[in-house]
Amino acid sequence: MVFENVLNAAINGFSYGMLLFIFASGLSIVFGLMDVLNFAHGAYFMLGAYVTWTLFSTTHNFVIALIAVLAIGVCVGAATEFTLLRPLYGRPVYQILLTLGLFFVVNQLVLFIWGPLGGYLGPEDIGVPQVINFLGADVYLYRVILAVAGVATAIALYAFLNRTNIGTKVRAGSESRELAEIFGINIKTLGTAIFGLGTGLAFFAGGLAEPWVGAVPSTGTDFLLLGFIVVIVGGMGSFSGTFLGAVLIGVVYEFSQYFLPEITFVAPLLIMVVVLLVRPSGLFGRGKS
Amino acid sequence: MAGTTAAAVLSEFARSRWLLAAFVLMSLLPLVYPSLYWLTILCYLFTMGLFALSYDLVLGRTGVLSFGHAACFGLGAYAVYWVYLAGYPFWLAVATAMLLGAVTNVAMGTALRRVKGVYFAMFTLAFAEIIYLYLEKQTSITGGTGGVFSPRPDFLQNPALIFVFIGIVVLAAVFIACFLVFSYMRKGARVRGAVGLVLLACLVGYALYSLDSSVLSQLQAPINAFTVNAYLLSALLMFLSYYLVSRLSLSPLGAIMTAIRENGERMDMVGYDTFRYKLVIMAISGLFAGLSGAMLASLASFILTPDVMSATYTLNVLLYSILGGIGTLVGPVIGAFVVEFLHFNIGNIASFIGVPSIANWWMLIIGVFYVAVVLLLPYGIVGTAMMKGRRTLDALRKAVGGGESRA
Amino acid sequence: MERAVPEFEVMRTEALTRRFGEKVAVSKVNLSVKAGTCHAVVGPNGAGKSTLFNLICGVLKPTAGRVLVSGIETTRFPPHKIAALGVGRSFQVLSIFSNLTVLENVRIAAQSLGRTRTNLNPFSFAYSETRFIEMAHEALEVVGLADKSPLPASVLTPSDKRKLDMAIALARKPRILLLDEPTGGVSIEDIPAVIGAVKNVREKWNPTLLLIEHKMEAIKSLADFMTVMDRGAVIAEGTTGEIERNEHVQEVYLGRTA
Repeated sequence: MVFENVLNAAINGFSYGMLLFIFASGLSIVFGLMDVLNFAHGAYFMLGAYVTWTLFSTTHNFVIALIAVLAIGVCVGAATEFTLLRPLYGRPVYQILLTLGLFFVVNQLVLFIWGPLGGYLGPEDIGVPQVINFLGADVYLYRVILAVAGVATAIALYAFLNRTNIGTKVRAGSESRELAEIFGINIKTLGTAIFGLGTGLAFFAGGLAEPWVGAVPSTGTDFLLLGFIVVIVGGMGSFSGTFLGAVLIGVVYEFSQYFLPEITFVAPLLIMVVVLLVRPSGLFGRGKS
Repeated sequence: MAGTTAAAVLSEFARSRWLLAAFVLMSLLPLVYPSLYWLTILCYLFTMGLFALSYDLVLGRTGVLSFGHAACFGLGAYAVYWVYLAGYPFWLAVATAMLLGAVTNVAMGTALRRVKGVYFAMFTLAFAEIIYLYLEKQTSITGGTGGVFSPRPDFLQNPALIFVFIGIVVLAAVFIACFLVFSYMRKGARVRGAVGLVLLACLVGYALYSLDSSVLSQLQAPINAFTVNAYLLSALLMFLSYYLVSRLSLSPLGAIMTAIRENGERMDMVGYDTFRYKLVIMAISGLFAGLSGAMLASLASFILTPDVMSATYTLNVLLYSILGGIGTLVGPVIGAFVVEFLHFNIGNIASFIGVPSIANWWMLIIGVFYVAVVLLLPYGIVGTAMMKGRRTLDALRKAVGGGESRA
Repeated sequence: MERAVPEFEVMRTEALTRRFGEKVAVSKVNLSVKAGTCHAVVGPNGAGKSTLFNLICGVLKPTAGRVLVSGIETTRFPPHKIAALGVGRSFQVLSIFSNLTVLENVRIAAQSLGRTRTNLNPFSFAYSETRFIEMAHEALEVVGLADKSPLPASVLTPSDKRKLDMAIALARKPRILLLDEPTGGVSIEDIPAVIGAVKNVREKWNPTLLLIEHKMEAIKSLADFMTVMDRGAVIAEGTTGEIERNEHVQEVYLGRTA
């Protein structure tokens, strides 16, 4: 019994960490270039889950729904940046305050459009058995798939950032705006693209999370808080940092859920406080002044 | 020596005449329009106004982005609950609340040595959330999500207390009258003085005239007396605090706060230990936040729930500040008034314009409004008005051709 | 103020070194600045001059070495403590209070001299301490901005902003004044005015000056001594005359100056 719990907690922790990683990398990329802490990211995650649910209800194909939601996310993100954040260019505090408002508005819009009940898509609905038996323990199969999908996304993202032209531009921009300008990169267009990418990742994470967490109103806030914690613990601007930080927080979160539910949120928050005080640039971060 | 102190005090009063006038006006309200419903709402508005004011010290005036202000507020509220219900006198409970608010804010502020800007904001958010999540689970001392009954002090149920407050108000009115008489006697301000005196006389006269026997007998009931007393006390505390805070702005510390906001690094280079000054400001802000929390617990609520310590209230205060105009001191207070007033009356307004269902979408409406203000009115309502107003005043002054100069 | 005895050393650095990872920005710099003199630190871009200033003022902490001001070791001091010892600094990248008036920019700097008790007294008025206002006026006069004192700092021309930056550093009448490229960003016509302002300060208050400069006319008219840096290390030092005749320096400078 204990073995089953520990195994599930470990698997869940890793896959929850993968979700967090996809979510947090979007946050980190945006913060790296634009110095904007995007509070709306959490709401977009939730929106992604809901949209995936609706898309699946119409197409009955989960993979298509995921690809579509990624594309939709990129468009929504680019549109947001272009209309709402560009006018506030050069005033990062106001941009952050705006994303805070946006978080609320999107949250409420989701309630308005889909109602308070939310949409739950079980793993069976998308053609995956709920549980399989592994070494005598019942394991949730979808989460294993999620873990694999997460690693795949991580590899794809890594390849994108390090091997493609655009990716290099994104990394240069994240390091230093001046550096990017020296390379002749149009910062404003890059900003729109990056925000689009980040939001797309949030939507995608939301879609992936749908069969597990469901599309319910509170997911946005929970994920946002954990996402921020991951980014700060892992270190802003560090790919490996975000990955390892996500796994750490995911595992801590799931283990608390299984064995010590009272500290589910307190533990990650405490980790963040400690990291902020001892190593403000994050466990692996290169730090931004 | 006594002469100069007296002169200083008198000039303080003279400078704050508008604040005093507003105080007199608001305090005579229960006599002129004795609606318990409105008095309760206004009491809440004053409480949130003070909360917003305390936040402006940190964000607007010093430029420190803190997302944990609700911790000072909520802990202040619960401090009154814990201390008063343990049997200690009310004033001690309020003092504890203020102290706890200050200590909490200073504790968060110490992180400024290590983290700045957005990172500090995240730290304060985490700090406050940890406190909230932990205390929410301690149902024995906070009542959990259901909350506890607010510790409304008994002595405020005494109807005779109303007359004490009225006495204070009358004193303020007398002072204003003296000021108006004095300005009447000054050659240049005859008209102003005369008009002011007449208005004041009418107001006070009407108020006293409304004080008939039916109102007095209604005030005998403890619940009514409590509402009126609570309202008057909240008005007194808010106006007094506002005076103190605006006074602070004009002091050397106020100048330091503004300069730190403008260029903190240069302030360090020029010889100020900005870290220590920021801690002082956090402490002062925490004092007033704790006071507003105490006011919420004892005057303006029936049930006290742990979510007063949660990020929801921090978001509320951010909303008031942005709407009103950060850094203006009066802006966030007005922002609080406007938002909470609308909040209470959204149902009526919605029915009035024929779309009753939008009352359920208060959060959406206010969220959209907030986004619009951030985008279009970064200086907030009061901030933008101040900028436009200065230009209009200058234009008006030119148009009227000199006219009376304003002190 | 009587002319200080030139032999008295007001500031010294010993083997001051600062590394950023692999890169050595400042390497074993020994600097000795005598009272009442004007000492220029010159060198091509990237030589480590501004980093040296940051190390002296406490903005950066050195990897090795010491800084001494008036005999007191200030190596680990925070910037405000070093400022309290009478060290003032102006900045290469302008650092002013844009939304305050020109007068307030300098007055608030002077107010740092106020006793902490007065600074924290909520019932005193910021403007009742006239001595700070007077000090501000003096500093503004010396740099030539006195007539612009009620204006908001944001409306000034770049040259005037440069003067304001200097005035802020001058507010406390520092005994040691570090000027980081005082003619940077100043239009050609205004350079003599800036140099004149610095000369004015020397004449009136006789502080010790430590100067980072590129423009030869400024160096020639102001500096008594020079220290030449290249790639973090000192390659030559001496009186201005000696350095001018030093061939090695000419090579370094002419070869690599922007």
